[in-house]
Amino acid sequence: MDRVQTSPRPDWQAQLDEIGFPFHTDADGTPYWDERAHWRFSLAEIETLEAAAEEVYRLCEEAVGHVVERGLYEAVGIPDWAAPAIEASWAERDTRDMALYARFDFAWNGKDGPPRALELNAETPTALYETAVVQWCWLQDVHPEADQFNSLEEALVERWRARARAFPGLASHEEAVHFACLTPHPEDEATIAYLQTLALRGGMTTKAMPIQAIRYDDASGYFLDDSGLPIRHLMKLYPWDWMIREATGRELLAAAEQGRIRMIEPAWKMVMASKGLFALLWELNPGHPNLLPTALDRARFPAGGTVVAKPLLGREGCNVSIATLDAAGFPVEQPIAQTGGPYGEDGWVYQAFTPLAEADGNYAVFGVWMAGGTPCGLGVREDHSLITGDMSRFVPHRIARG
Amino acid sequence: MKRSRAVAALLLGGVSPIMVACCDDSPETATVYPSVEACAAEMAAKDCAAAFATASKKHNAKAPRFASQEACEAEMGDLACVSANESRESSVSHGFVPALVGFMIGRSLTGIHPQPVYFDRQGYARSGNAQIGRAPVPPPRQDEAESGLGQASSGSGSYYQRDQSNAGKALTVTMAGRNAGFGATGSSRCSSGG
Repeated sequence: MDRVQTSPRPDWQAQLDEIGFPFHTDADGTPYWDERAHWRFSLAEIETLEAAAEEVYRLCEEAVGHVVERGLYEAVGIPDWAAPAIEASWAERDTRDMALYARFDFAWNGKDGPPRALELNAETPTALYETAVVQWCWLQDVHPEADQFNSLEEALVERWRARARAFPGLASHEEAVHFACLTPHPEDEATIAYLQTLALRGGMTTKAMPIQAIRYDDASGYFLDDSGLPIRHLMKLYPWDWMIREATGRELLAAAEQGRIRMIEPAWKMVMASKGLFALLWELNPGHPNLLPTALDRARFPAGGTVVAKPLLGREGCNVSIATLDAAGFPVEQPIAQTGGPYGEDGWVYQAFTPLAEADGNYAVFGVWMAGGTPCGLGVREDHSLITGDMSRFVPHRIARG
Repeated sequence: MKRSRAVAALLLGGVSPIMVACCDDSPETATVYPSVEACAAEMAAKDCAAAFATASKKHNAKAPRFASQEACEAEMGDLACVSANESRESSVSHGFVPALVGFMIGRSLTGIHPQPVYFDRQGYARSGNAQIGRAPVPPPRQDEAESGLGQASSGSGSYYQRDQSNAGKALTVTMAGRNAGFGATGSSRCSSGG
């Protein structure tokens, strides 16, 4: 793999605006979409990432099963009272409470061993449109002869088709899928519109609404949309662990458990989305070549080791710090890198540091997308810092001709 | 191989992000328009006509259907039902349905979503089989109570009828349920994504 510097298309901003992606530049004027470079992979490298993602996802599913069977919710930062909904959905994971998507973050420089999974964003993965559409358009313009690890869009359409097959009411248009996100939030609204487009192509009746407009009817136990009609399928671009702590969180869990509402992602994704899952993964699969030593207790690392601390329920690279620890698990010196943010009250997870791909002072994280359990695309995020956050740049990729 | 082949189809239409006004307080009430004209007093006439057409279609498809007028009226109120033929434009008998008394327009990220509205005996606004709201005042059951046997005179018994004094005017109903309260956490955090 290498990072290839290129001249941006002269009218790239206008082109991105035109395909529905006006979020290409951050508020401070720096590009978020960055086509001053791209990452070039060999097909063998792509296949290595693909195989690693498939393997680690399988391990993640096993780990969720382990949590559910043994009731280890506390270890992954989830309250016990969410268990019935999680267990009901887990029992139907292959039939009616199937996963839609997820995104791994892999660290890999192509030299020092195999790709290592840093985490799995199993619930509200970001950069969907950039990956599925924007970088694909870039490829058509700049390297039309080249290939890209990117069948994300048709893989997601197929997931919606599978849902229509599972629910006759969806196939017959008796029922609709509601799409909800926080508003005003232009990025999330664009993402939910894209997901809705894919569901429409999957043959479903859809309706998008602000998540704040959802209502709850105590008499029937149904959640209602802004026309007062029951919501039977809800695709939410908003985390479960927030919803369950909001005003009707318990009611939502009960409705999900009893099948009055089908959630996308289903409740069991709460477990898969927990950063604590990776501590369990390491415990269940110690020494696995695609995993890093990970623990909820920082004294578990050898003295002098460099360790990354992340909030159990953190997002977007908030509250992450990287430091060298002594035998008792305390930082020896100032952290090598750290970010601020609002998370941490639910606990921390510690992961051995591993080098990222680096070129020209840019550190890259490889986001491998999953549709259900199948890897189907790659999005590269770059930062000058070792911690990838919401200000990191999205950089396109292509597969070099073999 | 790895390449996505379907994405081009999407690009023909493009995905335009839709900006909507903030809705911190979701509506507790909704407006029922008894006619396209009443709606046109507040919105573009062509949107109203389209909304009415959509609502009528939904009503014909989703409203509860009764074998006889008596069975329908027992549930919906006296004189509140029509032959499904009238609403279906078909010569075949399809039983009886509650008369469509108006339509409600729900707004969301993707535009307007008209819903048909009828009222049941208790004064609940209904759409299809779902109860969607409650009208502001109790249903006028006065004459029925007086006559004792439900032999109401013409123009009474059903909550909302065309010949009542409020006919033609938009009506406000209280939405069913309560605000679910979702979104509170997200407003105070850095992002919902990961």
